[in-house]
Amino acid sequence: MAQTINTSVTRTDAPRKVTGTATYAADVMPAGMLHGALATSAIAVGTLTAIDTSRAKAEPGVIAVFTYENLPDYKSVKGLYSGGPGSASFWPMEGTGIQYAGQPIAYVVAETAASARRGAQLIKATYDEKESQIHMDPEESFVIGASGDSKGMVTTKGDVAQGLAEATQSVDVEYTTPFQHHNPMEMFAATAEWRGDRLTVWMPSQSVRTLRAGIVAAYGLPETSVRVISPFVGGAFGSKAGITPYTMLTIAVAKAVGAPVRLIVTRPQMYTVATFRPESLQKFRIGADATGKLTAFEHIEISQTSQFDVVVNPGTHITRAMYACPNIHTEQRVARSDTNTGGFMRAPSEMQTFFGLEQAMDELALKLGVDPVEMRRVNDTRRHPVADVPFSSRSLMECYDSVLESFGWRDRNSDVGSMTDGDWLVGYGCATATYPTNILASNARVRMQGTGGAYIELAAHDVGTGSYTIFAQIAAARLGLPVEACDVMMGQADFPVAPLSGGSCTAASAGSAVHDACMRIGRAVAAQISAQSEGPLSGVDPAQITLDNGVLRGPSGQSQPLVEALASTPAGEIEMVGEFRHPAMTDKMIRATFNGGYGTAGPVTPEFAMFAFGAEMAEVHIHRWTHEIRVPRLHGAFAAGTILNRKTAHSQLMGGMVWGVGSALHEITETDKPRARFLNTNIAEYLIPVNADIREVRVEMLEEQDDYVNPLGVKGIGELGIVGTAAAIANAVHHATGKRLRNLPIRMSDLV
Amino acid sequence: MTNKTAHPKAGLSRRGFLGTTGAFGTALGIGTDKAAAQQSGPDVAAGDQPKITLNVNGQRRTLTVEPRTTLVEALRDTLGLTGTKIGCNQGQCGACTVLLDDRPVNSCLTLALSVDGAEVVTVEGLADPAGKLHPMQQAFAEHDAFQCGYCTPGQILSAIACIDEGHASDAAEIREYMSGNLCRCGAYPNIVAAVETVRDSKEG
Amino acid sequence: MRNFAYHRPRSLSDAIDAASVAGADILAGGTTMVDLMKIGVREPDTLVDITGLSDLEGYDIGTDRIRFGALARMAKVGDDDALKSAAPVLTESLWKAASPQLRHAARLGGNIVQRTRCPYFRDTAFVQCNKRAPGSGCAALDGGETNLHAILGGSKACVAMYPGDWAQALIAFDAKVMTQGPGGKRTIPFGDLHVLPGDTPDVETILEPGEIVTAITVPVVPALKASHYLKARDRESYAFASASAAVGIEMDGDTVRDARIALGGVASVPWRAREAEESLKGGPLTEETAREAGRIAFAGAQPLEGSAYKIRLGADVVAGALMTAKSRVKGAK
Repeated sequence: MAQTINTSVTRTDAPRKVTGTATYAADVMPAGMLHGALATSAIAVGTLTAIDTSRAKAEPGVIAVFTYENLPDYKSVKGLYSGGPGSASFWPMEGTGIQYAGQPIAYVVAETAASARRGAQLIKATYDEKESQIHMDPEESFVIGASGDSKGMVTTKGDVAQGLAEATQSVDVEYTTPFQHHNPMEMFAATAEWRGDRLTVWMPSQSVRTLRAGIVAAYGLPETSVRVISPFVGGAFGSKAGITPYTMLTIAVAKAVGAPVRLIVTRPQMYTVATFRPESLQKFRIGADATGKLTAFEHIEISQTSQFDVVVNPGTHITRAMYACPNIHTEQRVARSDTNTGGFMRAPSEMQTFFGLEQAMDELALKLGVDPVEMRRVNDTRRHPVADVPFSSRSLMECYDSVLESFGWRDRNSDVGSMTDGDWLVGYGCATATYPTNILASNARVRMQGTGGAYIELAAHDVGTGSYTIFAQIAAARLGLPVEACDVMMGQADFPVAPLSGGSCTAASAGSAVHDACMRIGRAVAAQISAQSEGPLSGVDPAQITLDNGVLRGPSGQSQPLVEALASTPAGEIEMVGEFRHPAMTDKMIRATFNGGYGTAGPVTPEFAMFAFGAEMAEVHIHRWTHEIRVPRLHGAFAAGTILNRKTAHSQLMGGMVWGVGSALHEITETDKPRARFLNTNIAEYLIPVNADIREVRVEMLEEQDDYVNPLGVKGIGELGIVGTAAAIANAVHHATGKRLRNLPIRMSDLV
Repeated sequence: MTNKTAHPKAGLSRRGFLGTTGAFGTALGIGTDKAAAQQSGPDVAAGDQPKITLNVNGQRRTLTVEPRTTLVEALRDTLGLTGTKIGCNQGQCGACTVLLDDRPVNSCLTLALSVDGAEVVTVEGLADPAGKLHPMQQAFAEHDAFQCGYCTPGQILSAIACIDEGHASDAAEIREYMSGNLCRCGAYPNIVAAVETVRDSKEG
Repeated sequence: MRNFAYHRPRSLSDAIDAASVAGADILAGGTTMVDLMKIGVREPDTLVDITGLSDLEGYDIGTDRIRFGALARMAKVGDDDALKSAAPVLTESLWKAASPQLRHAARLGGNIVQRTRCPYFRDTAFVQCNKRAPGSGCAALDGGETNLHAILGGSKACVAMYPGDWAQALIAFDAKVMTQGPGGKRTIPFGDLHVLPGDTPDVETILEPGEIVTAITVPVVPALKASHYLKARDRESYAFASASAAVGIEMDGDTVRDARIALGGVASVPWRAREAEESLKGGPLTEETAREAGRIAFAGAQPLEGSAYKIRLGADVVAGALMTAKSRVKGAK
C-alpha cells in the first residue's frame, strides 16, 4: 500500500472548494429563516440614556427590534480570561453600560438582509459619554496575575545586571506593535434555529465543543439538545474560537421570534464585536561577549488589555526559550484601555515578541561585528534555558544553514546601503522563527469497512489548515486504504472530543487520536482473526501481531492486509474510538478539554521542551523615489517533525510568511484617540498583502524526527511561518537604509 | 454628486417619459451594453418589488428584487446560488466576483435591478453538466491555490478573466491583475501558478 | 441601505430631467454611489441609472484631441494600447486605480467625481463632519487622526483628501469636461470642476443639479507622449495613493519646453502644480532640477499631524515621475 504520510496529496475538500459547494455557515438557510443585523455604539465609554427603535420598526420588512430592554432568555457566558468559554467578560446588551466603541446595542430582525441592515442604520441612540482612552499607557502596566500566583509571568535566573556589566556590547531597546485584526475573508456569522428545546447553531468556529459547552451551560440544557455545525470555516486565525456576544444574541433572538435567524456581522463591525491582536511594547536589554555569546537577557512585554479582562498571550515564555544565557529576567505585563477584550491572533505570543527579539539580536550582532547567523549559532542550545529540560528536538541551525544556502546569504555585502538594483536599494535580513508544540487531549472515532472504506469522525476543524486531508492520510496509511476511501467528518460538536483549531495543535493532537483509533482497530481485528480457524494469522498470539502500514504481521512472517482480515470477520466492519493522552497531560488538562476548554500540555513538560523552529531570510527592495518597501524574495526553512502532507504544509508555512509580510509592512488598526474608536474598519484601508506584494516565497521543510511529542512525531506549523518574517524584513530594511525601525508596520512614511 | 438644492424644474411626468422614448428610441441605436438593450419598463418606486430576468450560468431565471437588492444577495439568498461569497459587502475584497456580460465585477456593488437582462456566470456555472471541472478549477485544486477556500470562487472567475483578457503574459502581470481578489490565507503564489498552468495548456 | 426609487432614462434629456429633481442622484458604475449608500452616507430618494445611454460609452484618440465619453469604462480605456502609446499618463492613472473588477464597472464620468476616503466622512458614528453634515464640525481637526489627509487645499472646516488618480492626469493636461444640464450644454476646464472645501466642504464641484458629464476631452500636446503616472503606496496594488504625480515633459534639445505636474494623494481636490512646472521650463531636466520642482510643488503645503511625511514623499514622487517621463522623450538616452 502506498505511503500516504509525507506526500503531496491534493486536498480532499478541493473539489468542493473549487466548485463553490463547500458550505460555510452563512450558506445554510433553514426554511423560514429571518435575517439579523446589529447596531453598535457610537461612543466608547458611558451609558446608553435612550434608544429609539421606532424608525427601525417602521422599516418595511423589519419584524422585531431587540435592545437590552426587551430580549428575554439572553444569556451571557464567562470570558476566557475568567475561566469561561466566552470571548470577553463584559457582555453587551445586558444593561445600559457602554465599554467600547462599536459595542452591540440593538439587534434587528427582518425578512431580508438588506432590510435588517437598514433597520440597524435607523436605530437612534443617545448617550451620556465619559472620557475614554483607546491606547494603553505602559506606565500603568502591571504583572499578569500579580494578585496571586504569577504562573511564570515573572522569571528570574542568575543576575541580569551582572550579566550586562560583563557584556562586551549590549542593547537596550524598545519595539512596538500596533492593534491588528484577524480579518478572515469569511465574516463572522451565526444562524440559530430552535425547535422546542432543541437548538442548532451554524457558525464558523474553531472550537465547536467550546461553543456547545457554553450554550448548554448557559441555558441549562442537556448536551444532546444543542448541535453546533461548522464543517467549513473561511479563515479564523484565532477570531472564531470563543463564544461571542453576537452568537448568544442570535440564539436568544431566534428563540424570541420563533424562527431561525441568521446574522452576518458587517466587515466594519468585525473590528469591535470580537477579538484582535492587542498592541504591545517590547523592552529588551541583551548583552553578549565578543563572540556573541549572551551574558544577559531581559525581556519585558507590555500588552494592551481591556478594562474587564486580562488577556494572556505570554510571549516572554517563548523568547526565553530561544537562546542559551546564564542570566535571564522576563516579565509579562498588561496595561488597560477602553476596547473590547483582545485575544489570540495568529502567533499571538510570537509575532510581536519575535519582531522585537530578532531585531534586538540583529542589533547586537552588528554592534559586535558578528554575522547575524553566527550570532544564533553561538547561542543555540539543546536545553531550555529556564526550565532546564532538553528540547525533544531542535534543528534551528540546520534551518539556518539550509536557508542561507538557498538564499545566497553569503553573497551579500554586509555594509549598510551597499547593495542596489537599478532604482532600488537592496537589503538582506534574517530571523529565527519558533512555535511551541501545544498538545491537547483528543479522541477520534474510526469505523472501517471490509469493503475498503473508512469513516473518521471527530470534533476537530479545518479552517483552511488541511485537516480533512491529513486525517484521511493518517487513516489511509494506518489502515492500508486509498486516501479517497477515507471519509473525514468534522466540525460538529456531536463528534468525539477534539481540541480547538488553535495553538497549531490540531495535527499533533487530533491526528494522534486518529492514529490511535486505527491502531486499536488493528489490535481488535488481530484478536478476531487469530481466533478464527482459518486464515494466514489463525492461531497466532494476537499480542504478537503488529499493524504495519495496513498489513497485519505475525512474528514469523505471516501477514494479511487489514482490510482482507476485516472482511473475513463476521461483521465485516469495526469501529473504535482512539485517544491521545500525552504522558505530560494532567487529569485537570484532560477534564478542561472535555468540558469545552483548552487544557494544554506543553510546550514545556517535566521531561522536555517541545518547539518547532525555523529560519527566515528576506530580501527587501526600497525605491529611491517612492520609498516603497517591497519583498521580492522570502525564504524559510523549517523543522517541525513529521510533515504529514507536503503540499498543504507548504501552503501553511507560505501562508504564514505572507501574513508576516503583512504584519511587517501593512497591518495596523488606526485609532481616533479623542473618541477611542478604530478608524480603518474595512478591508481597503486596513491593508493586508495583495497578490502583487508576494513574489518569490520559498519554503523548505527539513527532515526531523521527534518521538516524544506524539505518536506521529508532528509539531504544529500553522503559525510558525509568520514568526520570523517581520524581523527578517526589518533587519533587511536596516541593511538597505541604515534605519532601524522598531515600530510596526514599517512604511514609506518611516523612510522618507 | 453635490448636495445643492434642486433645480426648480419639475419632476418627470409619465407622459413626458413616454414621449421621450418615442423621440429618442432610434437615436440611441444598439447599445453595446446588453442590459440597456433589454431594459424596458416604467419607473420603480421605492417600495416596489419588480421582477428581473437574468441569464445565470446559461439558465434564464426570473426573480423578484427590491431596488436596493445587490446582485450577490439576489444570487445567494433569492436563487440559492451560495457559491459566490460575501467577504466585505463593500467591493473591497473581490470574494463576490462574478462574470457579468463577460466582465469580472464585484456583485456586491452591483444593483440587481440595474443589470436586468444580463448574463451572469458564477462558480456554479464552470464545471460541465457531467461534473467535469473547468481547467481553472482543476488547476486550482492541483496547485493548492487556496486553503480555507472562501475567496476561491471569486479568484477562479477573476483568473478566467485574466487569461481571456490577455493579462497573463507573465507572472508580474498575473499578480497585478489578480490583486483585486484578497486571500487572507496567503495562497497567492499558488494562484499564480494555477493561472500559468491554464494559460500554458491553452497555448500548447 | 435606504430603499429608493429607480429610473432608467433612455435619453440624455430624460436623464437630465430626472436628475434635476431634488433627492435624485445619478447611478453609473455604482462603485462610489452604491458603496456610500450602503454605509448611509448617501441616501437618495431616486437613482437615475444612466448606463443605458450607450452613446456616451465611446472614446476616440484623435491627433489633436482625445475624447472620452463619460460612460466609457475604466478597464476598457485603461487597457487601450493605442492610448497607452499616445498618452501613457492617461492609461497608467487608470489601471493603477482600484481593481479589475471595480474598473470593469466604473465609468470615467463617475471616476472624476469620486468621494473622499476620509474615515470621519465615511463612518456616520462620527457626528462631526462638515462635508457630510454641514456645520457639524470636523472630527479630524478636533484631535482626530490626520495621517491620510490633505496637506494642500484644506481648510479649517475640512481636510479631506481627494483620492482619485485619473483626475491628476486630466488636470495636468488641461482637460475639459463637457456637460449637459437643465440650462443646456457647457464646457468646463478641468481645473474649474472641483472647488476647494473652504467653508462649504459639502460642495465638491460646480456641477448643478441635473447636470450630467457627457464627455472629457484632452488636447494632444507633445508632453502627453512623454508622460507618466507614478503612484506611491504601502502595498503594490489595490490601494489609494499616499502620494502620486501625473507628469509630462516636452524637451527642446536639453531644455524643457513644457512641463506638466499634478499631485495626487495629498490635496483636497485634483492639484495642478504650476509653480513647479514653471521652475523647469527653459532649463535642463536633471535629478537636481526635478527634486527642486518637487520641493516647489509642496512649498505651500500645510502639514497636519501625522501627514508631514507627505511633503517629502510627494516631492520625491514628483521627481521620480519626471525622471521616467524624461526617459520617454523621443530620442532620449
